Amino acid sequence: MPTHETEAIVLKVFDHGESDKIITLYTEGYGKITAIAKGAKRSKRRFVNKLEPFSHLIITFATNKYSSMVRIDEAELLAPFPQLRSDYQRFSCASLICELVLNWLPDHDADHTLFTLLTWSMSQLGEQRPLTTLLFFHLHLLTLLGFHLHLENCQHCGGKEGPFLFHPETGGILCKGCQKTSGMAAGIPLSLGTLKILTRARDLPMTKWPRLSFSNQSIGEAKALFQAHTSYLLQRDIHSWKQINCR
Amino acid sequence: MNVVPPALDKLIADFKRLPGIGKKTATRLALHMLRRPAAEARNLARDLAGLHDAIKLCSNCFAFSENDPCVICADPRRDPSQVCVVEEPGDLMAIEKTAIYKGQYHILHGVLSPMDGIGPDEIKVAALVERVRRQQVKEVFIATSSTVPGEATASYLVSQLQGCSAKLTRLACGIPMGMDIKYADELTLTRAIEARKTA
Ligand SMILES: [Zn+2]
Ligand SMILES: [Zn+2]
Repeated sequence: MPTHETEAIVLKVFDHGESDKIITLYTEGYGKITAIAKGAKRSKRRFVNKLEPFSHLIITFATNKYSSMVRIDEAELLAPFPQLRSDYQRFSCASLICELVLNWLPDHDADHTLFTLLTWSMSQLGEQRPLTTLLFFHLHLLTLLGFHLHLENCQHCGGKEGPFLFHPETGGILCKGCQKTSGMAAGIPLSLGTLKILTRARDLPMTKWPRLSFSNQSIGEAKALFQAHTSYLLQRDIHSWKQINCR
Repeated sequence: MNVVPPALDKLIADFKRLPGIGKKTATRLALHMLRRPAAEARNLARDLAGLHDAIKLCSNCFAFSENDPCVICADPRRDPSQVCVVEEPGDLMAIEKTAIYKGQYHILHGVLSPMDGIGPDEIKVAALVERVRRQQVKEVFIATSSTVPGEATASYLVSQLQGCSAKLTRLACGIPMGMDIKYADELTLTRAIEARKTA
């Protein structure tokens, strides 16, 4: 069986039978893969404390032409991100990021930029305000997936006068007047401040993000926007949102 | 054409729903039951049918028990001011096997797992906080696993129990017995050094 080596972030782990674990990872070289780690539940040495959610690893795995599941042979821990265990909000934000990747990315489709964004987010979650990192991740995940948010002006009349409402169906905003005449259901209210910072964050490179700071109001509004938009696009709820408290 | 008789097929499907059992094992188990005397199958069916009526949750510690309170909570030799918090009934059994712990337990029935929709309201957290306040517990000994979800759950419990008069302790984690320290990862070794004790 051919073997491969790549960096990876662990997205989800569950026990399989008495002694094995099944792990879903986002890898740098191969995209999202699901792997079995034989004996991982009992082994004291080879895998202990490595195949844990959020961990940044280098893995060696073997593919099998009869199965889409690969077999992990070795794992080296690059960063365990202990801060993501010691605080419930950071833990919930990291879980949400992994849940988005699990549900949104196809298997075996490598994207170097997404891998960089994912590892950046896991390490940033332990540093600055976790909700801000979460919003950056979400915003740029949408861009990488090809969903451009229209947040500059009203999608119907082009007006720049608020108040604006976000509509998941169109991925953009409408002014109050156009919203009334369009007959569409009421959307998510967004203040001008929130629109401005989301647009700025979307257009800035990753290295400049730590300079931006979201107000509590913007965090709350952006959460409502992303939650509604994701549910609409994926046709399912992302469970972790329920645990994210914006206060 | 399905050559398996429907009654056998149904039993195989039932076995397949059990954790860790695939189609092959389910078929093997079903055929085994069929080959054994009928009385064995009847006994198994009776035990299964009576399970939910016979076993309840202890209203104090949430252990599975035939009585309420359970044998541990009802035992006057067990110290009620010391409460050991575990994830699952299996963890309680593991600690009991050591015979070293003399306090009571609290079973959470799960760990926090946001992406599975399991938050604090889905496990027995509120009942623990209430119990610690009401029963003047002196020590809450948190024995969740040293996995990411187990540690996140422990951190959440600590945040919720902050301000109670009880002392909060955590199961030490470090080098497993019989392990060469060269093979320990940095996080494990860091924890082991932090938790070192006088020799
Ligand atoms: Zn308009
Ligand atoms: Zn009890």
